[in-house]
Amino acid sequence: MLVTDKKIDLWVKEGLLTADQANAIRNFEQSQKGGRSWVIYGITAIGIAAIAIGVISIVAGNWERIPPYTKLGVYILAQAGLGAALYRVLPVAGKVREAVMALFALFFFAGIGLTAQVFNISSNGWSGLLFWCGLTLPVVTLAGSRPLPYLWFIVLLIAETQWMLIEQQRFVRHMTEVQSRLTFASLSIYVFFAIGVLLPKVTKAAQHLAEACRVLSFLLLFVGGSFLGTVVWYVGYAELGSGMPANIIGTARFIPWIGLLLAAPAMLLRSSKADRKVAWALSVSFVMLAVFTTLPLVFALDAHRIAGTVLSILLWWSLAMAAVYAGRKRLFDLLTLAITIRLLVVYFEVFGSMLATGVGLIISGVLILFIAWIWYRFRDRLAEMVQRL
Amino acid sequence: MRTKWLIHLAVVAVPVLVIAGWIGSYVIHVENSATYELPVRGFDPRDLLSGHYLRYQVDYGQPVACPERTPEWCLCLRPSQPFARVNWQGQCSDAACNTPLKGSCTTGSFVAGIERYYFPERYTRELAIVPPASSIIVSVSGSGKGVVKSFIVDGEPLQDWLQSKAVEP
Repeated sequence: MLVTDKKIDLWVKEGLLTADQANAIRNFEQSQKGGRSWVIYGITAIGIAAIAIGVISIVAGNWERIPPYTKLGVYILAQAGLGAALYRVLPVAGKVREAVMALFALFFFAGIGLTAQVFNISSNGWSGLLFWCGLTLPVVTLAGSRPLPYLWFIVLLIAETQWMLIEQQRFVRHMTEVQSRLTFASLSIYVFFAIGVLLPKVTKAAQHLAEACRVLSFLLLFVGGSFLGTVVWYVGYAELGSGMPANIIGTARFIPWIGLLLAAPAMLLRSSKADRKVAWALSVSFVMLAVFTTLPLVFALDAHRIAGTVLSILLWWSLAMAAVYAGRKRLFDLLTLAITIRLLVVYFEVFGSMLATGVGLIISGVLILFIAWIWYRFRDRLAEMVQRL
Repeated sequence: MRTKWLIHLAVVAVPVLVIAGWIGSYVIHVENSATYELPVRGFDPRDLLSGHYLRYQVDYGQPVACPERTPEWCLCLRPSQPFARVNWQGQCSDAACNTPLKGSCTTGSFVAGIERYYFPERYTRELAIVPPASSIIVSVSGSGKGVVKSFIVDGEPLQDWLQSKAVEP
């Protein structure tokens, strides 16, 4: 919150601050402003950018004339220079440390690309990305902010996806191509989630990397699972079974349940007494996910939109409960809002034709506003109620 | 304190040493391995450009019998005039020479990682197709890895050939 003189005067007038306190706040804010001149930062950034662009232009313009080994030598020196700079700033937490760390890590991409260009290395795509992940893993574990670990994990997922598409069939001979890809992709996400949950228990380092593994895997599982489950319930086994080979359906049935065996113990092993409720709520969520995505496949059920909708709402509700136990009020609000929107989608699926008429539109608008008001009024009470369970 | 200092040093130095070693291995490979000159031709009749890379097919002098989905397949090259020729091909474990060229047959044709060559973007027009009488100089290491050292057009390096084309009216 920006503290202005006007606000301080108002607080003094309302008796919230004394005059001495108001002066102390003003003096403090003034000293902070003196240390952070955004004008100077902006001018400095423009100057550095101009120099960098100038250097890059000269290099790019004379690229062919520079001997290949000179390019490689300069790259190695530059990378080592960045390493030396990082070594100096590593002990001191702050934005400079994180910026130098990011530059050091990203510069490896330039080295890998330059080497591939100089030696005309044919690439399958994933090996370069995986090499970058291996080179930067040590420094990413020391990251004090989120962007670099999250980027690292996303690059790892991309490398894994490329490997799976290109190379996997070499190693899995008794399964079909699609079967092995399905199994590998799904189970690897559960493994990453379990690693993200358990890593903080093993070491204090790599907190942000562990968080990236947990959060991104969780998002992939639940957002992907919600979409997949909706398709499974809307299309039904008869349609899916005729369109897909039996071994694919068979494989898809057991993956979420095996994943549950990875995810639930990881959460329960890691949780302290205080977090036990969160761990159990999340375990229930994983059970709901498995039920939601596999029930029609297990029992050869036909399309059943109502059952699918109810199960999807129960899945999101179980996540909402976990959010309450974890003290994440905003996440709870977001999840209950998602449930509200899902209910509205149901309404439009049933009564969508009414939107063609003026009366239908008015009724729909009133309903949307009513539901939004209900959600706004009662979300806090709902959260308290869940907390007491 | 000392442990932390050592960890920080390792975190910074080891990746730099690893990538320097990787680059160094390619330099050693290119400078110290056996080299062969192989003719190349384009895909019929136009060639595909992948970014700034010229893609081509290597002419080994005889058809390469490529069993499908074979992860590793090796060729033994014999230096001869004007170009090297294949005098043996088969499973790498049965290779009849010291430095076979290792490739794979997963796509139905033999691919050894030597099928592309980088060129500067401004020569895209001149290199719309693989120039006639083109060949590559390939170095093959003891492990079977091939690296393209240079691209030759009608006896002269690609760069010189491009510059001579630029000078021509």
